[in-house]
Amino acid sequence: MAQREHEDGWSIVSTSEQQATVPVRVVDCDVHPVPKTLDEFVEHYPEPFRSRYFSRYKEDVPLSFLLYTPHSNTGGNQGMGGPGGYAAPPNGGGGGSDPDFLAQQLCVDNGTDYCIMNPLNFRPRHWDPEWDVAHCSAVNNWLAANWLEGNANRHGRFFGAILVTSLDGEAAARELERWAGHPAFVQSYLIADSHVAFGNPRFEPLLKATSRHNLPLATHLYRHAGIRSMTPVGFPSYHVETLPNWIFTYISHVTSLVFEGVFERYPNLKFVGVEGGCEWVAPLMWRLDRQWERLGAEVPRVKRRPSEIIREHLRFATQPLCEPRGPKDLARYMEWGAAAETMVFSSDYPHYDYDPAAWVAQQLPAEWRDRVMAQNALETYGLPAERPRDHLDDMKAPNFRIEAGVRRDSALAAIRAGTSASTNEKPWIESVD
Amino acid sequence: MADEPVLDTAVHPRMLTNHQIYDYLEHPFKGLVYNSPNRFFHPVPTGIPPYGEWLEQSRPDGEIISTEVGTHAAREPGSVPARTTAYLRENGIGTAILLPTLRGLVPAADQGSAICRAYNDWQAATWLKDDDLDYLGSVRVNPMDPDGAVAEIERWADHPRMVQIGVPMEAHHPYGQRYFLKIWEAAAAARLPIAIKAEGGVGVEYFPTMTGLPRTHIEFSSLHRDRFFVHLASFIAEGVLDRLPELRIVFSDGGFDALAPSMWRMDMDWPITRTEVPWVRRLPSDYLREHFRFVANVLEGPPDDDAALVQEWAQRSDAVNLLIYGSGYPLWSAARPAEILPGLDAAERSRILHGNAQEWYGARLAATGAVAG
Repeated sequence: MAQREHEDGWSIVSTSEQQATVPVRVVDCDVHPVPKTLDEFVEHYPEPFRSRYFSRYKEDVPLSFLLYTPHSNTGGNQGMGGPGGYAAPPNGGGGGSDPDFLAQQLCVDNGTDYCIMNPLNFRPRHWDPEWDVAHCSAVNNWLAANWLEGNANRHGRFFGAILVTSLDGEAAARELERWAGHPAFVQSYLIADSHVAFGNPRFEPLLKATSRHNLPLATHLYRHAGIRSMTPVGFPSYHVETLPNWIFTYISHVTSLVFEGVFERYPNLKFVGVEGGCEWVAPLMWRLDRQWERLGAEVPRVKRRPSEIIREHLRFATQPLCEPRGPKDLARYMEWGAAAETMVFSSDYPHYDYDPAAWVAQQLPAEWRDRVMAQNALETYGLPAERPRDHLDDMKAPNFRIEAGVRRDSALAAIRAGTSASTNEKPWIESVD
Repeated sequence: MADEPVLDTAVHPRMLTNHQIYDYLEHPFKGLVYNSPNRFFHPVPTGIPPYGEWLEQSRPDGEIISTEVGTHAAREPGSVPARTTAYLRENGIGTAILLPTLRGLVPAADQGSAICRAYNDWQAATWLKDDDLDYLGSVRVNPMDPDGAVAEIERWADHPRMVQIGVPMEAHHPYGQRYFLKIWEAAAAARLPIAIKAEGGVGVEYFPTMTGLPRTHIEFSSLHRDRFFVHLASFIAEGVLDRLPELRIVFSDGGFDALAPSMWRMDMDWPITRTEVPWVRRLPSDYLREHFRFVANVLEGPPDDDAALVQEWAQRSDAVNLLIYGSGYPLWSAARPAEILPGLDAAERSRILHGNAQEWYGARLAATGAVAG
């Protein structure tokens, strides 16, 4: 394994101890921090909602849940947590709740230079725009206080997304204005399961404000309860069908943004689709070009070929990167989708289908690997291509993949010997081996 | 090879007028109101290209047509058999499978089934008796009435020219779910493939995309085919294909361009979360060749002028095995055989224009003694 990671000269170890700055090699566009405790979060909740719902019996008001749950084959009720609970901090708390441990796992073990934080944990309050607006403020307040400012971000590796409501475009723009100019908030952020495509006039005030502050707009699916999980033909039953269905949510948003002429109105705007896949970008470009050639008279505001618009304005995060059986299927489809311009690396840490940076880098051809691992994101977010050395650069990277192999071998040996119940560690299978 | 007559699996004949349906309805359904057969949502612009939903050639021009039960001045595009036959002949098509679209998802189950019966009787009494071209038919059934659908399949099970079951793409549940199982059992027993096609009319369908209602036709046109995947994934995940190894399903609107990336994602998740679906015995993509086909169309796929790209894409997506030809006549987007993947070689194109469909419908044709092509 250690040998494979160094094929083609790509390595997670990139620093020289003498230099004061370090070139950025890996930007992870999808990291999900969570609070250690409910109290850590609700202290940031605006009134009157904090007193009304999050004072007495606050645990009775569900903030999160698992629907279309990845019941993983590793056994037990692990939910979104990964195999063996790889992200669980040693001092307690859920995976993704300890800033220093997260920084160690991503920035040291995986060589990640910048982490873009997209909070997911708190499901929107869909039934009340006013509450949802306050809810988004709470998430942003919490992210700023616990992750982006102060000691947690003393290294400056963490950046954040400004969560805005999908129910009210004006209110979404106001929340964006509250944070625009903050050095660590680098994008506005809508839930993908909005039930309304982002090119719809409802979102115009948000698109305008996002463009005015020269920020990208990102989206991420949320695994919703209720009507927003419905497909055009009803509710699927199982995770294995729902996960691939979600790519069509992103395809719909991209199609809407292109044909509504959003990028003609906001030429500096970029859109980042996170966790919606990148393998379908090429077929979508071909399809939208063919549609536009024949039906473009209906949308005269769209002046350029959809594929050109997508190359310039749309970005797609890689996780969960598919593993098709055909040799080079993945690389060729990505290349046809203009990966060297349109695709950005993401890991989805700390979730069950996390893609380690070194593994993703191994899937990409050398010609555009660095663009996907870092350059495209640096350009999209306007982040510096060099960063100061910090204490994380001086921590020794363990070879986590070799350790994982050793742990798995011992877990399997314990199962064979019938002694697995006597250990604290669950038997586990790495999904990316 | 190139001289083999083309087998067209998707011709959409229409009744002569909105009211011809009354010729084939019985009491009490004859006493009910029937909306226009045109799709209500997201209409095709009529004053700018492409100038409406239908090919100009398919629009009637004063034809008056008599059947055994009525005489009508043809009004609906695609309703005059002679026009359809002329178009198909001109394009080298020897056999065509009729797949009529009906009136949308009808809220009342019995009325929905009555409409299906009316269209099936109409097909058999008119188009399937037209001997100018080799027409085969589709038994339209109402999935919202599974018992009625099974009865309708049984009514036509021995008809030599009925070669598939037709159901709408629109549905209130993904088709793998158990509400529908008895319909698929009856279809598999009769060796009838299932054709799934977006419906016309005015009905109680949900929104056509994952993000609700599009604002424009171009957006609708770009996205509505993607609904196929929810049904396909459902057939696999619910174990329908493990129960019914004979079941064959064709997506008559296309959508094939999105298949490879979405199946890769399903394959990726299956080893991790198959705990939930232990009855699914094979990797999801292993069900494709045996159970699914897609009608090729001109609104998707790599650019025609890049033959090397078309060939590589076809190889990586298994297009030569999974696509079949269907003109889509009388829609404006109807595809002539020459327009389908011109970058492929003659043998590959022959598979798509003829061979694949011949195999796909072969069991049914053999069972009824009919011969196609």
